[in-house]
Amino acid sequence: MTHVPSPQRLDKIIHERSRLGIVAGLAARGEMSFNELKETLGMTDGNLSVHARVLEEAKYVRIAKGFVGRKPRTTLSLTAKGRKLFADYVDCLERIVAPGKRKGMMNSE
Amino acid sequence: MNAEAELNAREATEHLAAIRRIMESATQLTVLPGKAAIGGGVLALIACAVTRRILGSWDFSQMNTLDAAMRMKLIALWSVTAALGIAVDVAMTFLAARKRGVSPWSRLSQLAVYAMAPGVAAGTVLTLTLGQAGHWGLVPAVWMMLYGGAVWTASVFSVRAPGLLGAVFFAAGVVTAFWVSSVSLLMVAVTFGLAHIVFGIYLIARFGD
Repeated sequence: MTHVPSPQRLDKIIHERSRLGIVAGLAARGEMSFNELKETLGMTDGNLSVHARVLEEAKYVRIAKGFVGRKPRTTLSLTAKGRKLFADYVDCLERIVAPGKRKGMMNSE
Repeated sequence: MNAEAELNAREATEHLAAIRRIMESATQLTVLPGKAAIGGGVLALIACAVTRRILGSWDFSQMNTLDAAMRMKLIALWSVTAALGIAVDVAMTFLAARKRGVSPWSRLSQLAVYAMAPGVAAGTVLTLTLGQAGHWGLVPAVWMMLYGGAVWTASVFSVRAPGLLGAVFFAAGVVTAFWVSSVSLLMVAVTFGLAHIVFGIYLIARFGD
């Protein structure tokens, strides 16, 4: 019989909606600027900063500050750990939805 | 399946749908071309300048005072402008997507095209029918409202910024239809020209295009 994981087994850090959005966006693009993420997710500066910091402290996300010309630009990207845990998270969801199915959107990579 | 498992499956389905939506939106952002908006805006300004020179007025209803041959030339001018605008958009979208290594014809691009198609088609048909009936003064407002509605709808599949552009076009169309039809051509220059340029500059400043 296929094991169906309970929500308690899902990664708590990624499971939060806003952080899931950040990680999903970064998984799709590899790297995004702070403003791009904010616009894509419809989040405020403060909200995005708080959640990005949580992900950075957990070492899921790397935050780099630099300049484009004279304008400061903050860039976020997934770490190898973050990418793997996101893939595991998606895999876990897919097994809840369709027990027995193994290949999903993240496994095609 | 018990109640808890069913709830979990539903929640998981919602989470997966949200993940897909976000991943697609993030990718779509890369093919939103600020330079295309600027190019389209410049083309519209050129067409407005030529039209203003021929009409001798900012009032589009002056099309009625032209002879048939000159009117056909202006219709051709605007048809070419629209076609060039679309060509610039497609070319810039393709280049931007290639630069980022993503498909220019993603599912979201397709949805955006489908969302815009009815408005653009209706605009074309209404332009011809209103023109034939001699209601040229209404044509710019119809363009603005239908284009604004189309962009607004397409923005559902993209970032929020185009939605604002669509709303500006729609509002400008309403204002033109009710209050400033005597300067309808000027309103075309302000919306299809300047608003597109400002929007393109905003996209480049915001997202680096």
